[in-house]
Amino acid sequence: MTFVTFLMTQNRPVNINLLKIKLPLSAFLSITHRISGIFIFFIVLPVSVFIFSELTQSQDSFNNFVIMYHKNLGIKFVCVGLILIFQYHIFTGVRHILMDFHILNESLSSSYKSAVTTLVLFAVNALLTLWVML
Amino acid sequence: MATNILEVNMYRYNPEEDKFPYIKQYQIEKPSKDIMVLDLLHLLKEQDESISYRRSCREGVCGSDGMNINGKNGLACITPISSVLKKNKIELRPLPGLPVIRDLVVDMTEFYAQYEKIKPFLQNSTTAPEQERLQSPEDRDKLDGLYECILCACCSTSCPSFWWNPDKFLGPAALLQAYRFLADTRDLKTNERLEDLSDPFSVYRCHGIMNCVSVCPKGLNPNKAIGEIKTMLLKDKKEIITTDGAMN
Repeated sequence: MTFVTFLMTQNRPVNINLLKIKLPLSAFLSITHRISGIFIFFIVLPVSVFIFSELTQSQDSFNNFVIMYHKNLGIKFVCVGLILIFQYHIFTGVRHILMDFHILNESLSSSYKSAVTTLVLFAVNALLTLWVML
Repeated sequence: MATNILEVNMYRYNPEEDKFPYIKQYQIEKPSKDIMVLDLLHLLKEQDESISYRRSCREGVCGSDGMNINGKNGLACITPISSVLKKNKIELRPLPGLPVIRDLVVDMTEFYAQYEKIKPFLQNSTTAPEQERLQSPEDRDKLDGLYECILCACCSTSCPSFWWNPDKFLGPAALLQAYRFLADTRDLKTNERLEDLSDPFSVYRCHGIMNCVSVCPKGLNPNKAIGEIKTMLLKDKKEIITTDGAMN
């Protein structure tokens, strides 16, 4: 057994306390982008398809849903929430695409600026969405 | 007088004695002048000689003393305590994501294995000229910001993608070196190198978190190098598609 394999067999601790490790703002955007992506795939997409199929059953089902949407605040909030998560994913995703195409400079300062810009744009967009939908 | 006391919280783990790692607190008088974190460790070692850490050149060249200082990876020897001190407190932890051998000493095997994978040497099978392979100054300039890496592992161990897949994702340090040889006009194995990088994990697990750029003690930008590799891979693919199309 070599020294290296001996070390590998030892059950050794790893320092991975996430609360103690500093990450830049772009980390927050990147990680939440991925979480929202998972959420969209497993929740937003199936729920949207379900609502869409319900809406297209007949004229009555469409009308019923519209009435329910305006009456029931819970359904309204769920719909707005799903749309906001989708929008967040698009905003942060576009930032990643712009970085991949070298349109945004890949320095730390410009990454911070683009992260702040993305969050501000998303906030404005979220306010508009809430204004239109609620 | 309380403001003259430094509080140092240190990650301690001795595999022969401790079952689990723990944080030990040390009090030390604040030095009259600004010292480096490594000097602080020397002072602490006078108090408690069981403290273990790596050090060698003590001037930011060898890359031995990479550690997590108040949450940010860096070289202890070139980090002044004034730049990291928060309310006279300082927390020292080993580099995240790698197995701890003892105290601040981590096992870098995984890190070096990834470095080995990218074949970090010039590959050129043509007969070597009598003196040296020449480059134009413009071509040489392409290597600036790439060759300076000292392999201290601060970047790779600060990267959440590397914590997640340390065996499959090469990590920023190895990728910076991969691009160093891709960008070198004297290296002739560019296509083979790109081929080795084209799987879904090696390069593409990078999601622009930028912590590598934020922590690099030499001020390098692995994220930019990874972006360049992604572009090269894309261009490489395009060429393959057009040649296939021409053959059909």
